[in-house]
This record gives sequence, structure tokens and C-alpha cells, in this order.
Amino acid sequence: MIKTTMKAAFVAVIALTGLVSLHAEALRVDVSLDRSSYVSGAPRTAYVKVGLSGTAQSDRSRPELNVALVLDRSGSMQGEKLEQAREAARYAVGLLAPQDFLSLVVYDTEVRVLVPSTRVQDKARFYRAIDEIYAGSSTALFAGVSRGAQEVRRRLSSDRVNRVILLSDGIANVGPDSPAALQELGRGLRREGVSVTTIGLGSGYNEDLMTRLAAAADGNHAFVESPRDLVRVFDAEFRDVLSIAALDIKIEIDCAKGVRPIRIMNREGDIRDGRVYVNLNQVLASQEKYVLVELELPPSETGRTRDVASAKIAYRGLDGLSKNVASPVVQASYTADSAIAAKSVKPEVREQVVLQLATEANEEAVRLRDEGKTKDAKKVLEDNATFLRSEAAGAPSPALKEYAEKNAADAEAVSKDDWTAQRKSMRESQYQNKTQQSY
Amino acid sequence: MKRRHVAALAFAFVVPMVLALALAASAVRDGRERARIRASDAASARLEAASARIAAVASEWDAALLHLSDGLDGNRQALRKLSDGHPWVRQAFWLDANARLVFPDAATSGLRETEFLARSELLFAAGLLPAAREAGGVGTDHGWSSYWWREGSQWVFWKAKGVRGYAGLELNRYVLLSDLSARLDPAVPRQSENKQYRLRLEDDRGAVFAVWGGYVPAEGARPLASSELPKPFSGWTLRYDMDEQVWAAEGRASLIALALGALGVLFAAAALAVYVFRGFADELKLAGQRVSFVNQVSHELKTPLTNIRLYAELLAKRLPEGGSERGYLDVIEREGRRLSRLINNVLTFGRETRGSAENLCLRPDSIDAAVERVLDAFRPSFEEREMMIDARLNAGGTVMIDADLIDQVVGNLLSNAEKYAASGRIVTVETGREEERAWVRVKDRGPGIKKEDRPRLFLQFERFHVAVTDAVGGTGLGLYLSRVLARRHGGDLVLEETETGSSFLFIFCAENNCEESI
Repeated sequence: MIKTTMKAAFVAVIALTGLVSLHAEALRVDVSLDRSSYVSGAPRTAYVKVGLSGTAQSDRSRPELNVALVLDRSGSMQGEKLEQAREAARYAVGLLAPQDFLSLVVYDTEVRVLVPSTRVQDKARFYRAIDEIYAGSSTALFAGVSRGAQEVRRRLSSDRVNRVILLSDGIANVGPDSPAALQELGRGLRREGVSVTTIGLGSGYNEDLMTRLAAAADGNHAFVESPRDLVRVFDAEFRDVLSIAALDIKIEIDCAKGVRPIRIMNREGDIRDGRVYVNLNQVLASQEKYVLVELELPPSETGRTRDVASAKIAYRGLDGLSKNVASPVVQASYTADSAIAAKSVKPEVREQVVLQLATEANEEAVRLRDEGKTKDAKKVLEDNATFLRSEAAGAPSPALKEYAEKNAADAEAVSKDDWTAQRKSMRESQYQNKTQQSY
Repeated sequence: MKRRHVAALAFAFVVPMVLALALAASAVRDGRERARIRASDAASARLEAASARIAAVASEWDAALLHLSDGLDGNRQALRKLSDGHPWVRQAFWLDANARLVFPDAATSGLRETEFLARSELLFAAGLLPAAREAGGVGTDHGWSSYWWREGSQWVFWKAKGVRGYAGLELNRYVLLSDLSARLDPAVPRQSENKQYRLRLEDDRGAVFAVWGGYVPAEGARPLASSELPKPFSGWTLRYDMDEQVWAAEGRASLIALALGALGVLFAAAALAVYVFRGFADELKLAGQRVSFVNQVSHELKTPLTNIRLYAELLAKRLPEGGSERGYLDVIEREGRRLSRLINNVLTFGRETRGSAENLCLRPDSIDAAVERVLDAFRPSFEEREMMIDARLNAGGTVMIDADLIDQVVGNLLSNAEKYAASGRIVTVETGREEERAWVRVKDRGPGIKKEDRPRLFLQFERFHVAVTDAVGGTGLGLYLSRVLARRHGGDLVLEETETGSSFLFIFCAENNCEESI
């Protein structure tokens, strides 16, 4: 009896401290299933979402930024592109505060560090360097990113936002140039705590390389068709960076006994021994980032409620200190009535699931089109648009509606001979859907 | 100016020119080759430097990875921690002492571990790690291996852990390459604006990893130098290309100097040839003028001399024998005869050199009589020198001869004997005839002619005995002309082998119809 009381008190203390710590901390964790009830009797597919968002931290000063701006100055940048890139870079310098670190790296065949990583106290120095950027020849993208990463590494700190921002309009032709190679590089950089944002300019760059690099290094990706939009994108990128609430987030989703994780729908990660591991470099205050995992629930009898999954999150706050959060275990109930099961759908999770499924279909369409199966691709996109529209009709969702229209437009464009811009735009949407990019 | 002189001079100019050109050409080749070797040596040095920098980065990796693997002992947690979080590591693994993979095991449910097992099958199937260890030699306990997967080689670092087995790290190659790239860059300025050279680092697929310098060599051009890199960069190449214009420039500089030198030599040779040519031409012209002058003078002398001799003879006939006046006249006549012979020689030589030799003037005459006339003329001066003429004249009969020519030849021979063989006292003159061949032998008992002088004996202007007989005059033409005349008369003049003194045999044609038989 005494033992039980003590245990209860202990739990209460733990819970209290946990609560306090949760309240004071930057990260809000939401673990939910796509519905609360599943039809009994057979294995069921379920989706679990782990959503992370920062709490508003008005009392806190924003984190220090440690940014390398890596600009492609290959021959193709000549003219308006380079002019706008300079303008965007100037704008970025203007956004930064004196405590932030910035380095300016340009590359063509060779890499030049115009300004090594330094605090942005003397903005004129950066402006002068930016003014002197001129167009060169080839595209040593790998070396450029490597050098930018090196500059960031010099100032690497757990309480800073460490980021390489790459602007390129061309296809890498010096150094490793395959999407897989840059993806591997991105993975390594993410593990070091450096994220990479890739901005593709015009229609000449390799969008697969750029999106996979950004995905692996957990940065943002943008397709900027017109150089005039560069300033806007840079603005969004820096706003994004400035709204970061937590860093170096390690998500571990524990599946309950009998529950089998099938796949991670929207991010890179590992599944091992019934656990799902996903790492994010940062979570924003303004926007939820989530991981969606497809699960297989074991068959259960009607009326039963079973534990499905819980999540443990380890992260670093902006103060550089490591923190942990654990979510409660989410549960699923079983019913024989499929109508009840259908009614138990959680619209916000369902919307995300649909968006990811539609994104996967959209990716499939790109693959088909790449293989020359234009008709199949068009069909997949049209079906995708229909699917999205019907889902959007069930539960009003501007996001799904928008993506439905996008897919319909994609279906139109996919059969054109020159679809490079369309492909880039599709990759961009896919990327943004998967990563919940803020812009 | 004779043609052969021009040819000789041209030859004197052409030979050095050809030699100089040949030298220059070979120097051009040598210079290019040397310049290439020099440039390729310099390139090799730069390659070595670059290679050393890359090797230095690799050895730092080595040290860091050794440090990483030090913490491993087969514990799965530690291996997974590296695989999950270390930027350089894609997958850590463990082999037992028999090189069998024990972690990750085949039963793993892990997504990434399963992928690793699929791609690294080859690595373990082939037993690459123990093989690498053996290849490393005794004491090797760590090293690099690579295996091929999809689009490229994958790098593996392994460390032998004694009886417990091997710790292995499958590495994220691109993170390491990124490190290499970022460190090479500031270490070696790229100099892409320098269009003279290009240093290129190529990966194992032949793709460009990094480029320094902006030179673009022709497709398929042979690199000036290239080198392989140590592990883990197996199959990677550093190649150095250089604009031929640049490396050849140095060779060209020495080439220009060389060409100028050759040109200088040519000019010098040409100037010398022209100088010699002109000098020679002047000399020849002058010599020609002299000959013609001497000729004219001789000719002019001939007429008064004939008169002097004629009147001296007439006068001698009117004076009684034995008187001193008669003696004076004999001297005048003798000296006149001598002078006349000299003049004849000079005139003959002049005609000879002009190529306008007189035809033979053959008349029926007795050889012995002709010779006797010459002997008579010489007798008084011989007597004066206490010399004796032993005449054995047996040519007999009248034949067609040019008596003046025979007079001149025999006179020359006797004059020589008088001048050079006075010590021999007796001069034997024999004549004889066998059918159409007649001969006159003039033999003295003087000092003879040295063997080494004999080949030049019949050349023009050759004179011997000068040291011995300083006082003896002469033109050096006598024997030369005598032989010329003898040959004109269908015969020859030769020196016979004798034990003492010298013996000249003058052979000539002596028949009625031997005219124009040359």
C-alpha cells in the first residue's frame, strides 16, 4: 500500500516535472493516428503522424545564424540572373543581424570564398564582394557546396542555425554530379548539424540533384523560374531560418507489440526492431513539421482498444541544451461497423495522408514521364487530381484542392515535349509537401 | 676564274651551311625533347605535391577512423550509434576472426542495415578484408578497401581486432570527398584564368573531380605527366596538361639563339668564302697579268738578244783565236745563249698556260747533230767549271724532229747538270734510236735527287737544292717545260733510278711520219 502510494507520488512528480518542462520548452509534439477506430477482424493499414512545432517564444531572442551563401557564377548566370542573384544576396545581407555569421562563396570551375565566415558587422564588406561577382565558366557544384559547408563548419555551434544556401542555375559538370552523390553528401552534412537549402534558378538546373540534396540535408528547396522572384525567395528563406524553434531533432517512434511499421512516407529515416527513426535539423515556431508513417495493425476483435505507438523526441533548444520529450501512447479501438470506423477519421491527419499519397503518385508520374510513358504519366496525374478532389470534397481542404488543381495542370503539361519547367515545378511541390516547407 | 675554283668555293660555303642546318635541325629536335622533359619533370613535381597533399588528407582520415574504431569491440549499440549518427559512417559492421559478418546479421529487420547487406554482399563474399590485410603485409592491422555498387565505388575502412575479429566502417564517400574538396581548394589556388596549364583530378570512373588552371588540351591529347593516387583513391588519376606553346617556349628561346648562331656561322663562312674567292681571283688575275707581262717582256728581249748573239758571233769570227777579246766575246755569246734559253722557257711556259702551244716544227735532221750543237754550246761553261762531257751519240741517220725543241730540252737538262751536279765532274750524254723511238740520256754524278723530292720534280716552279746552292739561279720551270715538250714530241721525260747522281731519260718520236702522233 505504502509502496503503491509512493509509486503514485513518484509518477506524479515525474509527470509534473515533465509538464513543467514541456510548458517551458520550445517543442510541441502531436502524435495521432489517421482515425481512432478501425474495422476489426483483419490486419489494417493505419497512418501515424508525429507532428512537431515550436511554441511562440516572444521572450526569447532569435538564434544566431551561421549561414554560407553559395552562388553559382557559371557562364549561364550571365545577365539578369546574376544581377538578381546579387540583388537577392544584398537583400540577405540586409536581413542579417550583427551577431550572425555569414560567408560568401562563389563557384564556377573553381570555388572562391569571397568573404570567409564572419559576423555581419561590416555589411559594406559583403556588399562590395557581391558587387564584384562576375560570371565564369563551368559548374563545380560539389566543390562549391563543400566549401560553403566548410565555412559553416568553422562556426558550427549547437545553439546556432547552421545552413548552406545554394543558388544554382546549372548542371554540375565538375566534381561528383549525380543526385545520389549529392544526396549522400547532404546526409553527412545533416548529421553534422548543417542543413542545405537549394534554390534552382531558371530551367537549366538538375532538380533531382537539388531536391535530393536539400531533402537529405533537411533544408528547403525552391524553383525560381524568373530571376525577379529571387529576392522574394531569399526573404522567405531567411524568415524560415529566423523562425526556427528547435534544432537537431531526433524522433523515435515506438510501435507497440504486434504493430508493424511499413514505411516512412515523407522523410528519410530508418526502421529497425519495430522502431522508426527520423532526424530533422530544425523545427519552426510558425509551422508544424511532421513525419507520417504507414503502419500495419494486427487483426483485433471488436471492442478492443490497443496501444499503437508513442514517440520520443530528443532535441536541442536555442540555448544549445539537449532536451527530451515523450508523447503519450496513441491507441486505436476496433469496431465491426465500417461506418463508425470511417466516421472516426481525423480530418487534419487524413489531409496529410492524402497529400503524401498524392505526392507519391505525382512522383510516380514523373518517373513514368522520364521513361517516356507520357500517356501513363498523364493518366496517373489525372487520377491523382480526381482523388484529391474527391478527398477535398469530403472534408473541405484548401491544400488538397490546390494540389488537385496542380495535378490537373501537371497532367496537361506532362505530354508537352518541353516539360523541364513543369518537371521542376512538380519536384518543388513534391518537396514542399513532404517537408512542410514554410514557403 | 676556273670552274673548279668556283666549285671549291661554293663547296666551302655549302658544306658549313649544310652542317649548320643539320646541327640546327637536330638541336630543334633535341631542344623540343629537352623542353618536354623539363616541362614534364616540373609537371611531375607539381603532381607529386598535389598527390602528397591528397595523401596527407587521407592519412588524417586514417587517424580519425582508427580513433573511431578504437571504441568498437563488437558491441551492437556502439556500432549502431556510429551508423545512426556519425557523418562519415554509412554503416558500421563487425566480422569475426574468420571474417564472417556477425553484425549487422542477416536476420536484421533494420531498413538501412538490410540495404547495407544487399549492397555489400560482394565485399564479404569475396573475403576482401582479410585479403587486403594479407596484401598489406606483416603488421598491417587496418586499411581501406572498396567495392563497387551501382554508380560508384564504396569505401570501407577496417581495423583488425585480434581474436575478436574485424571492425569495419562503410563510409559516406561523398562526405570525405567533400572534405577533400574543401581542403584542396584553399591549399591550391585554382588559377582557372591561367590558360597555360591544367591539373586535373579524375575519379575512378574517369570523371573530373577537380580542375586547376584553365588550359583545355585537345581531345585525346597525351598528358605531360600523370600519376596514380594511394588508397583509398585506387583508380584515381592526377593528370597534368600544359599548353605546348608554353613548355616549348623555353626550348624555342634556346632555339632562336641557336638559329642565330647557325646564321652567324653561315654569314661568316659566306664572308670568308667571298673574301677568299675575291683574293684568289685577284691573285689569279695578277698572276695572269704577270705571266703575260713577263711573256711580253721576254718577247721584246728576244729580238735584241738574237742581234746581240748574231753580232757577237760575227765579231768572234773576225778576231784571232786565243786573244783576250775573243775570250770576252765567248762569254758574251755563252751568256747570250743562256739568256736565250731562259727566254725560250718563259715564252714556252706562257704559251703553255695560255693554251696556245706551238705546233711541232718537224724537219729532217740528225738527232746526234742537234745534240752535238747543244753540247758545243755548253762546253765552254762546262770547262770553266772543270766539268767534262762524255758524249756517246748513237742515234744516227736523219729523221723528222723538231730540233729547236730537242735543243731546248737537252739544254735544260745540261743547264741543270751544270748548275747542280758540278761536283760530279762528268756528265754523260747518250743518244740512241730504236725504230721510231729515239732517246737522249743525260746522266750526272752529282748529289742526285732525294727520294722525297722526286714526286714533285716535274711540277712547275719547284726548285730543290736551294739551301745547298744559294747562288744558283733558276725559274723552276726547266724540268716541267722539258717534260711538257717531250710529251709534245710524242715521248716523255723521266728520271731513271741510279746509284749515284741523277739520270734523265728524254724519249721522243723520231720517224718520218711521227708527226701529230700525240
